[in-house]
Amino acid sequence: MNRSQHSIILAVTRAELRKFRRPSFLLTTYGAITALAMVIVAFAWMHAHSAAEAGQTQTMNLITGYQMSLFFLGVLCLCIAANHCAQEYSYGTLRVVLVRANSKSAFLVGKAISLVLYIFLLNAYTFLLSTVVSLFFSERYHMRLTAALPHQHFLKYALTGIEYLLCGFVGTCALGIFGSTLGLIVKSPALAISLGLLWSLIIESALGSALARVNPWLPCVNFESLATRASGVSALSYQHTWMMSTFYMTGFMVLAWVLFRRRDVSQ
Amino acid sequence: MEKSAIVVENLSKSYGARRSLQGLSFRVPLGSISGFVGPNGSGKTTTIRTLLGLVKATSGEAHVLGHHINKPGAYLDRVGAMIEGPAFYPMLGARENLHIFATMSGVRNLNYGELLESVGLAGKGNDKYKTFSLGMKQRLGIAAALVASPDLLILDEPTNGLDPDGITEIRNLIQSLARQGRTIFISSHLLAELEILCNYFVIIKAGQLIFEGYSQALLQSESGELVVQPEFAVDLSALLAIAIRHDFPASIQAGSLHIEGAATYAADFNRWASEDQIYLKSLHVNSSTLEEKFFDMSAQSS
Repeated sequence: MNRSQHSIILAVTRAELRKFRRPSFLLTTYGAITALAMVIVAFAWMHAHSAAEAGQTQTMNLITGYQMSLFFLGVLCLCIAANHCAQEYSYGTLRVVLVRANSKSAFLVGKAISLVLYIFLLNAYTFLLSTVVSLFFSERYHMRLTAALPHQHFLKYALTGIEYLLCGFVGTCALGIFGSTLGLIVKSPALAISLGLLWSLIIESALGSALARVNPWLPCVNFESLATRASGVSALSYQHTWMMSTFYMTGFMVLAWVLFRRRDVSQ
Repeated sequence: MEKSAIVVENLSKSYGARRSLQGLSFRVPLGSISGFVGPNGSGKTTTIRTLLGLVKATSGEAHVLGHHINKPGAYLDRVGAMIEGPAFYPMLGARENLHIFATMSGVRNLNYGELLESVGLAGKGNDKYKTFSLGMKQRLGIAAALVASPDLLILDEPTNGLDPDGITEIRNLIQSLARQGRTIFISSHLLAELEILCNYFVIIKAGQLIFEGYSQALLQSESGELVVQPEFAVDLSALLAIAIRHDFPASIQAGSLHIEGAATYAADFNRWASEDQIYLKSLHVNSSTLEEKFFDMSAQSS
């Protein structure tokens, strides 16, 4: 009895999610994002409070905390994705799972879906956490609620929030796809994570500083800009970041798929 | 013609300039326990990987359970495999690892306790894989190969790292699986173990076949030696005379008569001795071991 591609994809997704569900992994990732998001949001509000007391205009709202946390969330997603893909080679499990899943394409799609779901959950959690922490600080510093919200009406706030969450999710997913591709290329978790961090944190920053005109075309700059809804340091246009991010994401996915399909599984 | 679980025809695989398989052809009969033997680097693992769709052959063809290897999805659901030792997620427990592979295989409602018990890992389901000894990892590897209840089991060094008790347990497990009608294809360097377990052999060297056939054909050839011991040592010279009378080269060694090329004449020799009023204390065919045969064939192919 041959299984259909979609049933294999579903099976792989379920199996991969089971790996994500292990307590030690959940505790590490959610613990890290909780600590970082709380610290970042708290500092942002304390800074805004100091600025308001000094009579300066403050620009904080409930979403600013989430946007500021996205940088670390993106880095975390890159590391998780790179490790998630490369560990199949380093543990030697790829040869076993491919015999079981018996379709390279379905395996890759299932793995990608599980990763995207996990990144979405991380984003949603960070969004909720930063919103709750922001509400707490807005009360603590007696800042007017209207000043803490982008819009006066709840519905508008909800729609704006969803839009920001979507941008954050796509931007961090793009970094995850970048990490996955690196993991599949170099086949080593440590090397894939190192290369990913080196490129996104150091090489792109150096390139952007040395050659300002290449900045709008660099992948991670665009991903970060998209995640923060074009309000990051690069201040690229919203349309441009969507276009470039889509281009790079498609490119990385095609590269990963071609490499994975063509290469022999010799490990 | 006898049905085959695996048919390999003129299979070649090159990694750059290095030729791993050079026109390899063999078959594995359905329902057999087949031993896949060859020195390191002879192409055993490459052959297994090719059969499982992990590596693409440069040329040639192969069929597994009647399906071409170009379409591994058509037969892999019916194949269980342990390739180059066990491979699992170290941070997960034994049961959790098996659950992941079972889920990927589309298998539901598997009795994990029973499966773990069958490979001697009862009560170890929640222990993390990274805490397992080599022998326990091997057992879990075999359990993972069995999750989809396969018709064909391909095992690469299944008894590697096991203690004598473990080897016996795995041997019994493999034999019981074969009795259920499954075909077992085992690659191993433990030739004595394969000799006990297998009824069919495929021997390769440098990516080429040097022997393929049933164990009787390999180990009990007509050129085997007949070893005869008379009841009384004084009759040895008379037995030697009988052997020479029937044109068999023979020699007396340590109280026994060794008759070359007489493996299939045991009954005749017993009768001839009896006719001359000589009674035999023992009579047996001195078959070659798989190890001896393997070295002989390797030397000949060189």
